[in-house]
Amino acid sequence: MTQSGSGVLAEKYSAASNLRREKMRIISGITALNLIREKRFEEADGYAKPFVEIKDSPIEEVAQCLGSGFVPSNNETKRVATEMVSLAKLLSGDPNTLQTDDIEKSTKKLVELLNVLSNISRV
Amino acid sequence: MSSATSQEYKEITDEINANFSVVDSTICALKSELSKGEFNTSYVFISQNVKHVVSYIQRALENILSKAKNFGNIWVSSPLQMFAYRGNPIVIYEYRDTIREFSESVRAIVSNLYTNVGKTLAAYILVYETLEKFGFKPPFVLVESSEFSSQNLIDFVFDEFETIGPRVEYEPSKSQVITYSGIDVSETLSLLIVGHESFHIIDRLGGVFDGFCRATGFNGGKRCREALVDVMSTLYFGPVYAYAMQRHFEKRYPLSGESHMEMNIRLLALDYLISVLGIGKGNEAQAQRLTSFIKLLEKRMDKDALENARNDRKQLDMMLDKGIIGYVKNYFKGNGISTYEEFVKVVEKREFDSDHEKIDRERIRFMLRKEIPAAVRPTTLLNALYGSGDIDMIDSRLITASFKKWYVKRYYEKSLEKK
Repeated sequence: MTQSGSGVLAEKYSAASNLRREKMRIISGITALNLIREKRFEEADGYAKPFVEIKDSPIEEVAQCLGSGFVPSNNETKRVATEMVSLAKLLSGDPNTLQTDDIEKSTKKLVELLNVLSNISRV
Repeated sequence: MSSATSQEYKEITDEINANFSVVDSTICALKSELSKGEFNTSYVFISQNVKHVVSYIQRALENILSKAKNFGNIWVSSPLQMFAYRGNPIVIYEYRDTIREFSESVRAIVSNLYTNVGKTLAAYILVYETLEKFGFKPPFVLVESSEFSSQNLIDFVFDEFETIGPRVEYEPSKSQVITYSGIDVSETLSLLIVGHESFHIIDRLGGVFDGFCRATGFNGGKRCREALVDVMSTLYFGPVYAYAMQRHFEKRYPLSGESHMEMNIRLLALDYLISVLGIGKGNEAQAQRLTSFIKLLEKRMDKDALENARNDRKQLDMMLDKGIIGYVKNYFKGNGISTYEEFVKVVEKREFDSDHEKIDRERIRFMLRKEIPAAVRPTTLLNALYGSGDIDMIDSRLITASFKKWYVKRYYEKSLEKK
Protein backbone atom coordinates (compact mmCIF):
# COMPACT_ATOMS: atom_id res chain seq x y z
CA MET A 1 0.00 0.00 0.00
CA THR A 2 1.49 3.30 -1.00
CA GLN A 3 0.32 6.81 -0.84
CA SER A 4 2.25 9.72 -2.15
CA GLY A 5 1.08 13.27 -2.42
CA SER A 6 -2.46 14.13 -3.24
CA GLY A 7 -3.93 12.00 -5.88
CA VAL A 8 -2.16 8.77 -5.86
CA LEU A 9 -3.70 5.92 -4.42
CA ALA A 10 -4.40 2.84 -2.47
CA GLU A 11 -2.32 0.80 -4.74
CA LYS A 12 -3.10 -2.89 -5.12
CA TYR A 13 -6.20 -2.81 -2.96
CA SER A 14 -8.11 -5.53 -4.71
CA ALA A 15 -5.33 -8.09 -4.99
CA ALA A 16 -4.34 -7.50 -1.36
CA SER A 17 -7.95 -7.71 -0.29
CA ASN A 18 -8.43 -11.01 -2.14
CA LEU A 19 -5.40 -12.44 -0.43
CA ARG A 20 -6.60 -11.27 3.00
CA ARG A 21 -9.98 -12.83 2.31
CA GLU A 22 -8.40 -16.19 1.51
CA LYS A 23 -6.25 -16.00 4.65
CA MET A 24 -9.40 -15.32 6.68
CA ARG A 25 -10.99 -18.34 5.02
CA ILE A 26 -8.12 -20.56 6.15
CA ILE A 27 -8.22 -19.12 9.69
CA SER A 28 -11.94 -19.88 9.72
CA GLY A 29 -11.22 -23.47 8.63
CA ILE A 30 -8.63 -23.92 11.39
CA THR A 31 -11.07 -22.53 13.97
CA ALA A 32 -13.75 -24.93 12.73
CA LEU A 33 -11.39 -27.89 13.05
CA ASN A 34 -10.46 -26.89 16.61
CA LEU A 35 -14.12 -26.61 17.54
CA ILE A 36 -14.87 -29.97 15.95
CA ARG A 37 -12.05 -31.50 17.98
CA GLU A 38 -13.81 -30.16 21.08
CA LYS A 39 -17.13 -31.60 19.76
CA ARG A 40 -18.61 -28.08 19.62
CA PHE A 41 -20.30 -28.90 16.31
CA GLU A 42 -22.90 -26.16 16.31
CA GLU A 43 -20.31 -23.39 16.73
CA ALA A 44 -17.98 -25.16 14.30
CA ASP A 45 -20.62 -25.06 11.56
CA GLY A 46 -20.53 -21.23 11.33
CA TYR A 47 -16.75 -21.30 10.93
CA ALA A 48 -16.66 -24.28 8.58
CA LYS A 49 -19.16 -22.77 6.10
CA PRO A 50 -16.93 -20.03 4.63
CA PHE A 51 -14.16 -22.57 4.14
CA VAL A 52 -16.37 -25.33 2.75
CA GLU A 53 -17.95 -22.99 0.18
CA ILE A 54 -14.90 -23.30 -2.10
CA LYS A 55 -15.17 -27.07 -2.36
CA ASP A 56 -16.72 -26.98 -5.83
CA SER A 57 -14.84 -23.93 -7.09
CA PRO A 58 -12.50 -24.37 -10.06
CA ILE A 59 -8.87 -24.45 -8.89
CA GLU A 60 -8.07 -21.60 -11.33
CA GLU A 61 -10.64 -19.37 -9.69
CA VAL A 62 -9.33 -19.96 -6.16
CA ALA A 63 -5.74 -19.56 -7.40
CA GLN A 64 -6.67 -16.26 -9.05
CA CYS A 65 -7.70 -14.88 -5.65
CA LEU A 66 -4.33 -15.84 -4.24
CA GLY A 67 -2.38 -14.22 -7.07
CA SER A 68 -2.39 -10.71 -8.35
CA GLY A 69 -5.57 -10.67 -10.42
CA PHE A 70 -4.52 -9.92 -13.98
CA VAL A 71 -1.38 -12.04 -14.13
CA PRO A 72 -2.13 -15.75 -14.52
CA SER A 73 -1.63 -17.81 -11.38
CA ASN A 74 1.74 -19.47 -10.83
CA ASN A 75 2.41 -23.03 -9.73
CA GLU A 76 2.73 -22.18 -6.04
CA THR A 77 -0.66 -20.48 -5.86
CA LYS A 78 -2.20 -23.34 -7.84
CA ARG A 79 -0.76 -25.83 -5.36
CA VAL A 80 -2.19 -23.90 -2.40
CA ALA A 81 -5.54 -23.61 -4.18
CA THR A 82 -5.61 -27.35 -4.89
CA GLU A 83 -4.86 -28.18 -1.23
CA MET A 84 -7.50 -25.71 -0.04
CA VAL A 85 -10.19 -27.19 -2.27
CA SER A 86 -9.29 -30.72 -1.24
CA LEU A 87 -9.43 -29.84 2.49
CA ALA A 88 -12.72 -28.03 1.92
CA LYS A 89 -14.13 -31.25 0.49
CA LEU A 90 -12.95 -33.14 3.56
CA LEU A 91 -14.48 -30.60 5.93
CA SER A 92 -17.78 -30.61 4.04
CA GLY A 93 -18.67 -34.08 5.30
CA ASP A 94 -20.35 -34.98 8.58
CA PRO A 95 -18.05 -33.60 11.34
CA ASN A 96 -18.95 -36.58 13.56
CA THR A 97 -17.16 -38.91 11.19
CA LEU A 98 -13.89 -36.95 11.19
CA GLN A 99 -11.14 -38.91 12.92
CA THR A 100 -8.86 -37.15 15.43
CA ASP A 101 -5.95 -37.98 13.19
CA ASP A 102 -7.62 -36.33 10.17
CA ILE A 103 -8.38 -33.25 12.25
CA GLU A 104 -4.76 -33.01 13.38
CA LYS A 105 -3.38 -33.46 9.88
CA SER A 106 -5.84 -31.04 8.29
CA THR A 107 -5.13 -28.38 10.92
CA LYS A 108 -1.39 -28.70 10.36
CA LYS A 109 -1.88 -28.52 6.60
CA LEU A 110 -4.01 -25.38 6.89
CA VAL A 111 -1.45 -23.71 9.14
CA GLU A 112 1.20 -24.56 6.56
CA LEU A 113 -0.92 -23.04 3.78
CA LEU A 114 -1.45 -19.92 5.88
CA ASN A 115 2.33 -19.64 6.17
CA VAL A 116 2.73 -19.96 2.41
CA LEU A 117 0.11 -17.27 1.79
CA SER A 118 1.87 -14.96 4.23
CA ASN A 119 4.92 -15.18 2.00
CA ILE A 120 3.17 -14.50 -1.29
CA SER A 121 4.38 -11.26 -2.77
CA ARG A 122 1.75 -8.60 -3.12
CA VAL A 123 3.31 -6.77 -6.00
CA MET B 1 -4.86 -29.29 36.24
CA SER B 2 -1.55 -28.44 37.95
CA SER B 3 -0.80 -24.90 39.03
CA ALA B 4 2.09 -24.72 36.55
CA THR B 5 -0.32 -25.55 33.75
CA SER B 6 -2.82 -23.02 35.06
CA GLN B 7 -0.10 -20.43 35.00
CA GLU B 8 0.77 -21.40 31.46
CA TYR B 9 -2.88 -21.17 30.38
CA LYS B 10 -3.13 -17.78 32.03
CA GLU B 11 -0.15 -16.52 30.06
CA ILE B 12 -1.60 -17.79 26.80
CA THR B 13 -5.01 -16.31 27.60
CA ASP B 14 -3.36 -12.97 28.32
CA GLU B 15 -1.53 -13.12 25.03
CA ILE B 16 -4.68 -13.95 23.09
CA ASN B 17 -6.53 -11.15 24.85
CA ALA B 18 -3.71 -8.74 24.09
CA ASN B 19 -3.86 -9.59 20.40
CA PHE B 20 -7.62 -9.13 20.27
CA SER B 21 -7.42 -5.84 22.09
CA VAL B 22 -5.06 -4.69 19.32
CA VAL B 23 -7.73 -5.79 16.84
CA ASP B 24 -10.44 -3.87 18.73
CA SER B 25 -8.45 -0.69 19.02
CA THR B 26 -7.39 -0.86 15.34
CA ILE B 27 -11.00 -1.03 14.18
CA CYS B 28 -12.17 1.64 16.65
CA ALA B 29 -9.34 3.97 15.61
CA LEU B 30 -10.17 3.44 11.95
CA LYS B 31 -13.79 4.30 12.60
CA SER B 32 -12.96 7.65 14.15
CA GLU B 33 -10.20 8.47 11.65
CA LEU B 34 -12.54 8.20 8.67
CA SER B 35 -14.38 11.40 9.66
CA LYS B 36 -12.95 14.27 7.66
CA GLY B 37 -15.28 17.07 8.68
CA GLU B 38 -17.29 19.05 6.16
CA PHE B 39 -16.56 18.10 2.54
CA ASN B 40 -17.85 20.14 -0.37
CA THR B 41 -17.08 20.22 -4.06
CA SER B 42 -18.75 22.32 -6.73
CA TYR B 43 -20.47 19.10 -7.79
CA VAL B 44 -22.97 18.17 -5.14
CA PHE B 45 -23.42 14.61 -6.33
CA ILE B 46 -19.70 13.90 -5.89
CA SER B 47 -19.58 15.33 -2.34
CA GLN B 48 -22.76 13.48 -1.43
CA ASN B 49 -21.54 10.17 -2.89
CA VAL B 50 -18.24 10.35 -1.06
CA LYS B 51 -19.87 11.34 2.25
CA HIS B 52 -22.52 8.66 1.90
CA VAL B 53 -19.97 5.94 1.16
CA VAL B 54 -17.66 6.94 4.02
CA SER B 55 -20.43 7.13 6.60
CA TYR B 56 -21.70 3.73 5.46
CA ILE B 57 -18.24 2.22 5.94
CA GLN B 58 -18.08 3.77 9.43
CA ARG B 59 -21.40 2.21 10.42
CA ALA B 60 -20.53 -1.19 8.93
CA LEU B 61 -17.29 -1.28 10.96
CA GLU B 62 -19.46 -1.89 14.05
CA ASN B 63 -20.32 -5.31 12.59
CA ILE B 64 -16.68 -6.11 12.01
CA LEU B 65 -15.92 -5.13 15.58
CA SER B 66 -18.58 -7.40 17.04
CA LYS B 67 -17.45 -10.24 14.78
CA ALA B 68 -13.89 -9.82 16.06
CA LYS B 69 -15.20 -9.93 19.64
CA ASN B 70 -17.02 -13.22 19.01
CA PHE B 71 -13.97 -14.68 17.37
CA GLY B 72 -11.80 -13.56 20.28
CA ASN B 73 -14.17 -15.25 22.73
CA ILE B 74 -13.93 -18.55 20.90
CA TRP B 75 -10.16 -18.45 21.03
CA VAL B 76 -9.89 -17.78 24.75
CA SER B 77 -12.78 -19.90 25.92
CA SER B 78 -11.31 -23.33 26.32
CA PRO B 79 -8.05 -25.06 27.25
CA LEU B 80 -8.10 -26.94 23.95
CA GLN B 81 -8.32 -23.70 21.97
CA MET B 82 -5.41 -22.35 23.96
CA PHE B 83 -3.50 -25.55 23.31
CA ALA B 84 -4.14 -25.07 19.60
CA TYR B 85 -3.00 -21.48 19.85
CA ARG B 86 0.22 -22.48 21.61
CA GLY B 87 1.04 -24.86 18.75
CA ASN B 88 -0.01 -22.47 15.96
CA PRO B 89 0.27 -18.88 17.14
CA ILE B 90 0.47 -17.73 13.51
CA VAL B 91 -3.31 -18.00 13.33
CA ILE B 92 -3.93 -15.23 15.83
CA TYR B 93 -1.02 -13.09 14.60
CA GLU B 94 -2.25 -13.40 11.02
CA TYR B 95 -5.74 -12.35 12.04
CA ARG B 96 -4.41 -9.36 13.94
CA ASP B 97 -2.14 -8.35 11.06
CA THR B 98 -4.91 -8.84 8.53
CA ILE B 99 -7.08 -6.39 10.46
CA ARG B 100 -4.21 -3.92 10.53
CA GLU B 101 -3.63 -4.23 6.78
CA PHE B 102 -7.35 -3.90 6.12
CA SER B 103 -7.50 -0.74 8.22
CA GLU B 104 -4.55 0.80 6.41
CA SER B 105 -6.13 0.03 3.05
CA VAL B 106 -9.49 1.50 3.99
CA ARG B 107 -7.83 4.59 5.46
CA ALA B 108 -5.84 5.13 2.23
CA ILE B 109 -8.86 4.52 0.02
CA VAL B 110 -11.07 6.94 1.93
CA SER B 111 -8.35 9.55 2.03
CA ASN B 112 -7.96 9.27 -1.75
CA LEU B 113 -11.68 9.62 -2.35
CA TYR B 114 -11.28 13.19 -1.11
CA THR B 115 -7.93 14.05 -2.65
CA ASN B 116 -8.59 12.46 -6.07
CA VAL B 117 -11.72 14.44 -6.86
CA GLY B 118 -9.89 16.90 -9.12
CA LYS B 119 -8.30 14.10 -11.11
CA THR B 120 -11.43 11.98 -11.41
CA LEU B 121 -13.93 14.78 -12.00
CA ALA B 122 -14.59 14.07 -15.71
CA ALA B 123 -14.93 10.33 -15.00
CA TYR B 124 -17.40 11.05 -12.18
CA ILE B 125 -19.50 13.18 -14.54
CA LEU B 126 -19.44 10.55 -17.30
CA VAL B 127 -20.42 7.68 -14.99
CA TYR B 128 -23.10 9.73 -13.25
CA GLU B 129 -24.61 10.80 -16.57
CA THR B 130 -24.57 7.24 -17.94
CA LEU B 131 -26.17 5.69 -14.86
CA GLU B 132 -28.78 8.40 -14.60
CA LYS B 133 -29.80 7.90 -18.24
CA PHE B 134 -30.65 4.30 -17.45
CA GLY B 135 -32.63 5.33 -14.39
CA PHE B 136 -30.05 4.37 -11.78
CA LYS B 137 -28.75 6.80 -9.19
CA PRO B 138 -26.73 4.71 -6.76
CA PRO B 139 -24.06 6.49 -4.75
CA PHE B 140 -20.75 5.51 -6.34
CA VAL B 141 -17.06 6.28 -5.93
CA LEU B 142 -13.99 5.83 -8.11
CA VAL B 143 -10.97 4.13 -6.60
CA GLU B 144 -7.54 3.39 -8.04
CA SER B 145 -6.68 -0.25 -7.50
CA SER B 146 -4.89 -3.24 -8.97
CA GLU B 147 -7.62 -4.09 -11.45
CA PHE B 148 -10.66 -2.78 -13.27
CA SER B 149 -13.83 -3.70 -11.52
CA SER B 150 -17.26 -2.57 -10.54
CA GLN B 151 -18.62 -3.94 -7.29
CA ASN B 152 -21.16 -3.33 -4.59
CA LEU B 153 -19.51 -1.23 -1.86
CA ILE B 154 -20.15 -3.85 0.77
CA ASP B 155 -18.40 -6.55 -1.27
CA PHE B 156 -15.51 -4.27 -2.15
CA VAL B 157 -14.74 -3.22 1.42
CA PHE B 158 -15.95 -6.03 3.62
CA ASP B 159 -16.14 -9.27 1.68
CA GLU B 160 -12.94 -10.56 3.25
CA PHE B 161 -14.81 -10.75 6.56
CA GLU B 162 -17.42 -13.02 4.99
CA THR B 163 -14.80 -15.74 5.01
CA ILE B 164 -14.30 -15.84 8.75
CA GLY B 165 -17.02 -17.35 10.87
CA PRO B 166 -20.76 -16.82 10.63
CA ARG B 167 -22.05 -14.28 8.11
CA VAL B 168 -22.57 -10.69 9.19
CA GLU B 169 -25.82 -8.93 8.31
CA TYR B 170 -25.08 -5.54 6.81
CA GLU B 171 -27.48 -2.65 6.43
CA PRO B 172 -28.68 -2.80 2.78
CA SER B 173 -26.86 -0.44 0.42
CA LYS B 174 -26.88 0.22 -3.30
CA SER B 175 -23.55 2.05 -3.19
CA GLN B 176 -21.11 1.04 -5.89
CA VAL B 177 -17.35 1.14 -6.25
CA ILE B 178 -15.59 1.38 -9.60
CA THR B 179 -11.90 0.54 -9.50
CA TYR B 180 -9.42 1.39 -12.22
CA SER B 181 -5.84 0.38 -12.67
CA GLY B 182 -2.77 1.35 -14.65
CA ILE B 183 -4.36 4.32 -16.41
CA ASP B 184 -4.18 8.04 -15.93
CA VAL B 185 -7.85 8.44 -15.12
CA SER B 186 -7.95 12.05 -16.29
CA GLU B 187 -6.79 11.14 -19.83
CA THR B 188 -9.51 11.44 -22.45
CA LEU B 189 -9.60 7.83 -23.64
CA SER B 190 -9.38 6.51 -20.07
CA LEU B 191 -12.80 8.03 -19.47
CA LEU B 192 -14.31 5.44 -21.80
CA ILE B 193 -12.52 2.62 -20.01
CA VAL B 194 -14.13 3.82 -16.78
CA GLY B 195 -17.37 4.21 -18.77
CA HIS B 196 -17.22 0.46 -19.48
CA GLU B 197 -17.36 -0.15 -15.72
CA SER B 198 -20.51 1.95 -15.43
CA PHE B 199 -22.21 -0.56 -17.75
CA HIS B 200 -21.27 -3.29 -15.30
CA ILE B 201 -23.30 -1.39 -12.70
CA ILE B 202 -26.20 -1.08 -15.15
CA ASP B 203 -25.95 -4.80 -15.93
CA ARG B 204 -25.90 -5.66 -12.23
CA LEU B 205 -28.74 -3.36 -11.17
CA GLY B 206 -30.80 -3.96 -14.32
CA GLY B 207 -30.13 -7.71 -14.58
CA VAL B 208 -29.32 -7.40 -18.30
CA PHE B 209 -27.06 -10.42 -18.80
CA ASP B 210 -29.18 -12.64 -16.58
CA GLY B 211 -32.27 -11.48 -18.49
CA PHE B 212 -30.60 -12.30 -21.80
CA CYS B 213 -29.66 -15.79 -20.56
CA ARG B 214 -33.20 -16.42 -19.31
CA ALA B 215 -34.84 -15.15 -22.47
CA THR B 216 -32.65 -17.09 -24.89
CA GLY B 217 -31.50 -20.12 -22.90
CA PHE B 218 -27.90 -18.96 -23.28
CA ASN B 219 -25.52 -20.21 -20.64
CA GLY B 220 -22.27 -18.23 -20.34
CA GLY B 221 -19.81 -17.25 -17.64
CA LYS B 222 -17.90 -14.11 -16.68
CA ARG B 223 -16.22 -13.79 -20.09
CA CYS B 224 -19.61 -13.64 -21.82
CA ARG B 225 -20.87 -11.08 -19.33
CA GLU B 226 -17.88 -8.92 -20.23
CA ALA B 227 -18.76 -9.30 -23.92
CA LEU B 228 -22.28 -8.07 -23.18
CA VAL B 229 -20.87 -5.04 -21.38
CA ASP B 230 -18.72 -4.30 -24.45
CA VAL B 231 -21.82 -4.47 -26.65
CA MET B 232 -23.70 -2.10 -24.34
CA SER B 233 -20.76 0.31 -24.17
CA THR B 234 -20.36 0.40 -27.96
CA LEU B 235 -24.05 0.90 -28.54
CA TYR B 236 -24.01 3.79 -26.09
CA PHE B 237 -20.64 5.49 -26.58
CA GLY B 238 -20.22 4.78 -30.30
CA PRO B 239 -17.03 4.11 -32.30
CA VAL B 240 -14.82 6.13 -29.95
CA TYR B 241 -15.30 3.35 -27.39
CA ALA B 242 -13.71 0.76 -29.73
CA TYR B 243 -10.85 3.18 -30.37
CA ALA B 244 -10.33 3.69 -26.63
CA MET B 245 -10.22 -0.08 -26.07
CA GLN B 246 -7.74 -0.54 -28.89
CA ARG B 247 -5.46 2.19 -27.54
CA HIS B 248 -5.79 0.72 -24.06
CA PHE B 249 -4.80 -2.76 -25.26
CA GLU B 250 -1.90 -1.37 -27.27
CA LYS B 251 -0.28 -0.40 -23.99
CA ARG B 252 -0.54 -3.86 -22.46
CA TYR B 253 0.79 -7.36 -22.99
CA PRO B 254 -1.66 -9.55 -24.88
CA LEU B 255 -2.96 -11.14 -21.69
CA SER B 256 -6.64 -10.86 -20.96
CA GLY B 257 -6.77 -12.39 -17.49
CA GLU B 258 -9.37 -14.97 -16.58
CA SER B 259 -12.59 -13.02 -16.56
CA HIS B 260 -12.36 -11.32 -19.96
CA MET B 261 -12.41 -12.74 -23.45
CA GLU B 262 -9.03 -12.60 -25.19
CA MET B 263 -8.15 -9.12 -26.45
CA ASN B 264 -8.26 -10.06 -30.13
CA ILE B 265 -11.78 -11.46 -29.77
CA ARG B 266 -12.98 -8.42 -27.82
CA LEU B 267 -11.67 -6.11 -30.52
CA LEU B 268 -13.05 -8.33 -33.26
CA ALA B 269 -16.47 -8.08 -31.63
CA LEU B 270 -16.21 -4.29 -31.46
CA ASP B 271 -15.09 -4.14 -35.09
CA TYR B 272 -18.03 -6.32 -36.08
CA LEU B 273 -20.48 -4.18 -34.10
CA ILE B 274 -19.24 -0.97 -35.66
CA SER B 275 -19.58 -2.36 -39.16
CA VAL B 276 -23.00 -3.96 -38.52
CA LEU B 277 -24.36 -0.79 -36.98
CA GLY B 278 -22.78 1.33 -39.70
CA ILE B 279 -21.36 3.77 -37.15
CA GLY B 280 -17.75 3.79 -38.28
CA LYS B 281 -18.28 5.19 -41.76
CA GLY B 282 -15.80 7.78 -42.90
CA ASN B 283 -12.99 6.45 -40.75
CA GLU B 284 -11.55 3.72 -42.94
CA ALA B 285 -7.98 4.41 -41.87
CA GLN B 286 -8.93 3.61 -38.28
CA ALA B 287 -10.77 0.45 -39.38
CA GLN B 288 -7.56 -0.67 -41.13
CA ARG B 289 -5.51 0.11 -38.05
CA LEU B 290 -7.85 -1.93 -35.87
CA THR B 291 -7.70 -4.93 -38.22
CA SER B 292 -3.90 -4.81 -38.30
CA PHE B 293 -3.74 -4.58 -34.50
CA ILE B 294 -6.01 -7.61 -34.10
CA LYS B 295 -3.65 -9.56 -36.38
CA LEU B 296 -0.64 -8.36 -34.40
CA LEU B 297 -2.27 -9.48 -31.15
CA GLU B 298 -2.87 -12.93 -32.62
CA LYS B 299 0.79 -13.21 -33.58
CA ARG B 300 1.87 -12.37 -30.05
CA MET B 301 -0.47 -14.84 -28.34
CA ASP B 302 0.84 -18.12 -26.99
CA LYS B 303 -0.75 -21.54 -27.49
CA ASP B 304 -3.01 -21.30 -24.41
CA ALA B 305 -4.22 -17.83 -25.28
CA LEU B 306 -5.00 -18.93 -28.85
CA GLU B 307 -6.96 -21.89 -27.52
CA ASN B 308 -8.87 -19.55 -25.18
CA ALA B 309 -9.51 -17.22 -28.11
CA ARG B 310 -11.01 -20.10 -30.14
CA ASN B 311 -13.39 -20.91 -27.28
CA ASP B 312 -14.23 -17.24 -26.80
CA ARG B 313 -15.02 -16.93 -30.50
CA LYS B 314 -17.45 -19.84 -30.25
CA GLN B 315 -19.17 -18.27 -27.25
CA LEU B 316 -19.33 -14.90 -28.95
CA ASP B 317 -20.82 -16.39 -32.13
CA MET B 318 -23.40 -18.15 -29.98
CA MET B 319 -24.29 -14.87 -28.25
CA LEU B 320 -24.68 -13.17 -31.62
CA ASP B 321 -26.79 -16.06 -32.93
CA LYS B 322 -29.02 -15.75 -29.86
CA GLY B 323 -29.56 -12.09 -30.74
CA ILE B 324 -27.47 -10.22 -28.18
CA ILE B 325 -27.42 -7.01 -30.26
CA GLY B 326 -31.20 -6.97 -30.63
CA TYR B 327 -31.63 -7.77 -26.94
CA VAL B 328 -29.44 -4.85 -25.86
CA LYS B 329 -31.15 -2.52 -28.35
CA ASN B 330 -34.50 -3.50 -26.86
CA TYR B 331 -33.17 -2.95 -23.36
CA PHE B 332 -32.08 0.55 -24.38
CA LYS B 333 -35.45 1.19 -26.02
CA GLY B 334 -37.30 -0.01 -22.92
CA ASN B 335 -35.42 2.59 -20.89
CA GLY B 336 -35.99 5.37 -23.42
CA ILE B 337 -32.30 5.44 -24.45
CA SER B 338 -31.15 5.94 -28.02
CA THR B 339 -28.40 3.71 -29.32
CA TYR B 340 -25.49 5.63 -30.80
CA GLU B 341 -26.75 5.38 -34.40
CA GLU B 342 -30.17 6.77 -33.40
CA PHE B 343 -28.52 9.29 -31.13
CA VAL B 344 -26.57 10.77 -34.06
CA LYS B 345 -29.56 10.77 -36.40
CA VAL B 346 -32.16 12.06 -33.98
CA VAL B 347 -30.93 13.45 -30.64
CA GLU B 348 -27.74 15.07 -31.82
CA LYS B 349 -29.41 16.51 -34.93
CA ARG B 350 -32.26 17.91 -32.84
CA GLU B 351 -29.87 19.48 -30.34
CA PHE B 352 -27.62 20.94 -33.01
CA ASP B 353 -30.62 22.44 -34.81
CA SER B 354 -32.44 23.81 -31.81
CA ASP B 355 -29.61 25.12 -29.69
CA HIS B 356 -29.55 28.86 -29.14
CA GLU B 357 -25.87 28.80 -29.74
CA LYS B 358 -25.67 27.05 -33.14
CA ILE B 359 -23.24 24.20 -32.96
CA ASP B 360 -22.21 21.15 -34.94
CA ARG B 361 -19.34 18.68 -34.93
CA GLU B 362 -17.19 20.93 -37.09
CA ARG B 363 -17.70 23.82 -34.69
CA ILE B 364 -16.92 21.60 -31.69
CA ARG B 365 -13.60 20.68 -33.25
CA PHE B 366 -12.91 24.33 -34.06
CA MET B 367 -13.64 25.38 -30.47
CA LEU B 368 -11.38 22.76 -28.96
CA ARG B 369 -8.57 23.52 -31.36
CA LYS B 370 -8.87 27.12 -30.14
CA GLU B 371 -8.84 25.80 -26.55
CA ILE B 372 -12.44 26.79 -25.85
CA PRO B 373 -14.38 24.16 -23.85
CA ALA B 374 -17.55 22.97 -25.62
CA ALA B 375 -20.70 22.41 -23.57
CA VAL B 376 -21.99 19.36 -25.45
CA ARG B 377 -22.84 15.81 -24.42
CA PRO B 378 -19.77 13.66 -23.71
CA THR B 379 -20.72 11.15 -26.43
CA THR B 380 -20.97 13.92 -29.03
CA LEU B 381 -17.75 15.57 -27.91
CA LEU B 382 -15.66 12.40 -27.84
CA ASN B 383 -16.95 11.06 -31.15
CA ALA B 384 -16.52 14.43 -32.87
CA LEU B 385 -12.86 14.47 -31.83
CA TYR B 386 -12.41 10.82 -32.72
CA GLY B 387 -13.95 11.39 -36.18
CA SER B 388 -11.53 14.19 -36.98
CA GLY B 389 -8.51 12.38 -35.60
CA ASP B 390 -8.01 15.07 -32.91
CA ILE B 391 -8.76 12.94 -29.89
CA ASP B 392 -5.14 12.04 -29.15
CA MET B 393 -3.97 15.61 -29.58
CA ILE B 394 -6.44 17.61 -27.51
CA ASP B 395 -5.31 18.33 -23.94
CA SER B 396 -7.39 16.20 -21.57
CA ARG B 397 -7.85 19.24 -19.28
CA LEU B 398 -9.87 20.79 -22.08
CA ILE B 399 -12.07 17.70 -22.21
CA THR B 400 -12.61 17.91 -18.45
CA ALA B 401 -13.43 21.61 -18.78
CA SER B 402 -15.93 20.76 -21.55
CA PHE B 403 -17.59 18.08 -19.39
CA LYS B 404 -17.87 20.58 -16.53
CA LYS B 405 -19.33 23.24 -18.79
CA TRP B 406 -21.84 20.75 -20.21
CA TYR B 407 -22.76 19.46 -16.75
CA VAL B 408 -23.49 22.98 -15.48
CA LYS B 409 -25.45 23.86 -18.64
CA ARG B 410 -27.48 20.67 -18.42
CA TYR B 411 -28.42 21.23 -14.79
CA TYR B 412 -29.29 24.83 -15.46
CA GLU B 413 -31.63 23.67 -18.25
CA LYS B 414 -33.08 21.02 -15.97
CA SER B 415 -33.78 23.58 -13.29
CA LEU B 416 -35.61 25.71 -15.89
CA GLU B 417 -37.69 22.68 -16.91
CA LYS B 418 -38.71 22.13 -13.29
CA LYS B 419 -39.93 25.73 -13.03
